[in-house]
Amino acid sequence: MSKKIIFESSEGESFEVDEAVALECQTIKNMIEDDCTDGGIPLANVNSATLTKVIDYCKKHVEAAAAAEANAGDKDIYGANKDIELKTWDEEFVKVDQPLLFDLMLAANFLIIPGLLDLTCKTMMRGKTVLQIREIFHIKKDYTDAEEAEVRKENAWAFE
Amino acid sequence: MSRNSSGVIPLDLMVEIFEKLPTKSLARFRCPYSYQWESIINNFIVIDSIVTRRLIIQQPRDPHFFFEKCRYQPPHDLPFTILTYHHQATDEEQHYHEEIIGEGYLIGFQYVRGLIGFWCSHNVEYFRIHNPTTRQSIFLPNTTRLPGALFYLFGYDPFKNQYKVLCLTHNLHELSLSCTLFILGDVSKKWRGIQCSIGFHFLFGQEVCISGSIYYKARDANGTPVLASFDVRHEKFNHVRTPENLLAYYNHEDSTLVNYHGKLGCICPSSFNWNEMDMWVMQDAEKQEWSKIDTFLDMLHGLPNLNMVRFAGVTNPGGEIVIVHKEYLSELAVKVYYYDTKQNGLRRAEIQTTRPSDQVTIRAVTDHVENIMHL
Repeated sequence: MSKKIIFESSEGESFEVDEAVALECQTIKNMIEDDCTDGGIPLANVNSATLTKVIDYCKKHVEAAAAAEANAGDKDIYGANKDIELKTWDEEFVKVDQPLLFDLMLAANFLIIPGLLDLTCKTMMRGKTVLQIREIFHIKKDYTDAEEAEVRKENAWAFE
Repeated sequence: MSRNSSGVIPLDLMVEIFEKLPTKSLARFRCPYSYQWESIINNFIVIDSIVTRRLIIQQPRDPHFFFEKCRYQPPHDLPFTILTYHHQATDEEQHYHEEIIGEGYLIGFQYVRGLIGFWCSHNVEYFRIHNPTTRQSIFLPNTTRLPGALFYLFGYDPFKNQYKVLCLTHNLHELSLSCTLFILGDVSKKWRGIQCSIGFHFLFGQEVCISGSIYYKARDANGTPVLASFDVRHEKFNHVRTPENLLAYYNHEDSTLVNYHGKLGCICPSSFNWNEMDMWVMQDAEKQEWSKIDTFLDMLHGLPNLNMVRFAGVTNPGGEIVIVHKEYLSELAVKVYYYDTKQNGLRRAEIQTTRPSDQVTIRAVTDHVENIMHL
């Protein structure tokens, strides 16, 4: 039986996962290597709903990697993993409401899960206007209108 | 979760998100609105107008290709030069963009750090710069044309972050050379004269800009082939010592200057049977010390006749030598060859072109960057 790691969400709920799944998170991987995971890992800034999703994601990707390993012959010559099924799964995975997507992105950043971070960031930005993005990032305008017009002219190509 | 209380996104995450944006969106978001926002992008992603990314996805290993074609388009009397950018995003995905960049056929074409410098048979007095990322094109001001053959060299000085264009006019009767220089973005918008300290030399073709120096092949007053360089920052000319025989061939196309992992390299025949090619690299630019990296026997085996193909560069970091057809009277696909110098193997790739039956010249860019500089 494989070693288990226990996560504790911000609500104090415990989640038990296989070590292999936890290793998907770079941050946790470092902790495991440093041998400081006994008694569970408190994740004070990740809530239960988000953590459940994060664990789902890691599980799926560990399974997919194992399956790909078994079918190594299917890989193309560059070693690229053309797992269409996994891609579809990822797309379905991020079909969640905006707040949860946001939490997932922050969690992926904190736990350092490059694949999930990439996926959530891209989903977050997809189809958004400049205005919407500014809202998400809480960007306040401090340029004057004249300054804005001037530099906008230089970047006209980007608005075509 | 902290977001609901403060709504603050950590800086590193913000950078992470910006990095994933396509260049055009990035430029749009960068547009002035907030100084803080702009400075985040300028400090972490767009450095000296180059978009830098640390992508986790696999980088394509193939170079970018530019195809140039000349086409008559009635009712105009002059042919147009059409530039097609080809960019292999992934193994399956290819992107094209086609653009008319000038009248007449292209005489010179130099790609330097995201920008293309070129001049056309029509209006040789005007050097032009085109940015394939923003698709902006400009004419530099007219150079005062002296009698004689005209040549341009385009280079970049990383120290001052400046692009410079050098215009050389040769008077073959008097064996004299006059040089003028233009700094891109300089407020004076004028060409100014500079001295050439290495005497008369006549350019014949190929040049490459590496770490602030333009290296180019030339012939001196006696017609002897020489390798010259121009230090873009200090605006100084130099002769470059080369190993024997590096340039001693009939024809300027016999040896090819390349950017070999950031150093000046030269691919040239090691004997006159053309089957053995040498790869030389100038290991120390200061001392002008060269070393022979390898000799490739039978490199051209399986390729069309050497008269038909030319070396177009060395991929970085792959180290494959890119070989293309000199001129391609195309069918639907253009063939490109890659010679793997480590395993001495040849692979062939086909690039789909947009339409058949164009005469095409292929340029391979092995050090492509996205530059969002406003010209």
